[in-house]
Amino acid sequence: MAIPPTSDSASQPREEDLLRAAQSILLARERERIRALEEEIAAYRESEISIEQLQEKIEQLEAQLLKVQHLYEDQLMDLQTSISILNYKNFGRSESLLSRLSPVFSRLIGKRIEEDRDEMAKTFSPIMGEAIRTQIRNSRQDMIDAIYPIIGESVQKSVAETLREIQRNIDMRLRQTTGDVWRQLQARLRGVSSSELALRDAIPFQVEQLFFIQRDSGLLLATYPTEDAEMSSGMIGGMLTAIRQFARDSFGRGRTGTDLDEIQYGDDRIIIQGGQYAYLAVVIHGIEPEGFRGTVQTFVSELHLQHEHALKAYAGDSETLPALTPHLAEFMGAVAGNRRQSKPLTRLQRWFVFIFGMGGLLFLALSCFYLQFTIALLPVAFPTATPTITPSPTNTPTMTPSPTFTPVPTNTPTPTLTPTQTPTNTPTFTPTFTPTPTQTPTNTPTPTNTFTPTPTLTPSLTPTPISAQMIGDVFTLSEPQLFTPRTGEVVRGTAVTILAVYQNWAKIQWTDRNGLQEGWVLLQWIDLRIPIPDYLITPTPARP
Amino acid sequence: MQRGGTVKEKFRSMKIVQKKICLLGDFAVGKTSLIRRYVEERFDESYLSTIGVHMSRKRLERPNHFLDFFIWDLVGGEDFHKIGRNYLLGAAGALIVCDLTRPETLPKLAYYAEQMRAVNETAVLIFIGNKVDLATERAISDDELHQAITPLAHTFLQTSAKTGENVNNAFYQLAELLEM
Repeated sequence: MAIPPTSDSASQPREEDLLRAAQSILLARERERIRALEEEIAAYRESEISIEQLQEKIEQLEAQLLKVQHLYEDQLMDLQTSISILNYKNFGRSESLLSRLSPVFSRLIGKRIEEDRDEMAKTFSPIMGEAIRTQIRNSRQDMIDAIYPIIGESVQKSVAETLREIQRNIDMRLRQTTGDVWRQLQARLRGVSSSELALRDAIPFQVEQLFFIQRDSGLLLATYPTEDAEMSSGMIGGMLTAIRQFARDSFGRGRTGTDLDEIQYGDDRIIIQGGQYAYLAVVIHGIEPEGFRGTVQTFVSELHLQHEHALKAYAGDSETLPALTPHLAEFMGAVAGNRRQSKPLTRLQRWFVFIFGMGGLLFLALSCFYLQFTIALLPVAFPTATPTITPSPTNTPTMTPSPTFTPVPTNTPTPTLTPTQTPTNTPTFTPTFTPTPTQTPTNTPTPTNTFTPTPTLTPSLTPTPISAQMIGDVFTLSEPQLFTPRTGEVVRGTAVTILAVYQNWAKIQWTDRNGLQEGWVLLQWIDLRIPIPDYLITPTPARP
Repeated sequence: MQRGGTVKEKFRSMKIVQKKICLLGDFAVGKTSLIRRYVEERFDESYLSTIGVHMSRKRLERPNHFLDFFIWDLVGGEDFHKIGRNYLLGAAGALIVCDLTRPETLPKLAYYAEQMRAVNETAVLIFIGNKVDLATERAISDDELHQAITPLAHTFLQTSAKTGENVNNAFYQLAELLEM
């Protein structure tokens, strides 16, 4: 391409123009591109704004769509319910309907409960009881399993509290009755331990109310305690009487003595003790002690004995009745008194009881020692003396004991026989006094160191027996003691000879058809014509 | 206060006389309604079937004492035969009721009177024709009533447990006769 020449002044603007022209020629495409890019940028900016708007619109549309969807779901559910009802009506398939309706109702009920809990509780409460009863009847075990965690815990708490109370009572009673020998003895006699007896005593028992009621009419004669009982007591009397009469008619079957004697309600019981004209109703709490019913029976009998006429003639006028309330109060006081717990001993009282007990034990030990000592010395103090006949030296020289037979002085009783009379006094009996040889060794004392009393024979004098007469028919004994072997019998009026006397016994000798007899009899059966001489009496050894 | 205390002491010092009385009559003649009207001063429209015995108490203030009525409302009809006469024991008097709208209840008055007499010969009896307010349904005329009551020779009243007509009067007359 040829470029035309130019002047200097004029050539510069031309160069610029040329430059511009060249630039425009050279940069035209780029400028077009830039412009296009700018337009694109502007377009992009516009499109960003529209996207945000679109997104908002989309969200709005989605929300509307969700609402419509819920609406459609509810309508669909209603339609399904309607269809189910129609199906049930058409085909009678209740199970199908229920299975379809159940989730619907469950959902509706759940919604309703969330919205108004109190209202729903108020709606359902009347049928809850019946529903629970039905459920228990139908599935008892399931209900037990469901309720056990609640009820079981409550019961456990209650039982534990009751046991703690009983334990406290037992501990208290055991503390009070420790050392109570009578209670322990009583328990043993009953065949139980003292702890068991304490347990029995610890079981609560209380007489709460007494009603004395006319038997046929049910009119209240007296009650105790009287406070807060004025209006209701009369009704109680009537109702108890009606119940008794009903029980008698229903279960007595005409038998006598088959009245209702107890009614139980909750933890309390009414013990009824009948009388001829009135009966006593005792409201008690707990378990009555042994013999309580007997006490009540005795009380009712005593009331009848004391006020029989008034009870029989009572026709409703309170003035004709004696004061019965004090009797009831006294009875209740007596019953409560038997159960009243004794106060624990003070420290001083405990010391006193301890010292008294120890003193008693010491006294007992000393008594035992004294008794044992006395028993041991009894043979010494009361020797079984066997009086012997001291033969005359002239008749039986062999009877003379040797001086070496004299026992030890300390153990030897006082010599006894000292015959002074001469044989000539009663010559007819003389031959009978001759002792046989067999008697000699038995009568010979043996000088031993034992405590056996051995009378010393002093054959220095000749004994002279005395005569007497029996005043009764008696048996004679071999020893001057009761319950010893009999040797024979002697009849009244028999002449006897007294050979020896020991205490209130006499050794006699008499003759009967069998010959000469001997034996011991009581002095009271002998008619003594003369006083017994001393030489015939065996003295009783003095007590040590 | 002192005056109130004096009145209280006066009441306390007044003696109390107790009387057991029975209400007898056939089934649904209105015995229980009569007692409700008398004792509780109101009338319950719903009928309460009497089972066995229903007991009420009413205290009357008499000139010099209180009179306590222990009212035994006994079941009527066939059930009365089952419970027997034991419930009548010790009763001083009785109100024997028939239903003026049911003629079959009229002859039973004599039966209940006989039962009461068997237990207590001196018992005071008052015969009552109840439901007198139901004039349009009345089925027993005055003449029939007199014929039935005359042999029994006792007081007779026509009452209405619904309106209260003669109810208090019946018990008042019973009290008067008991304390003659």
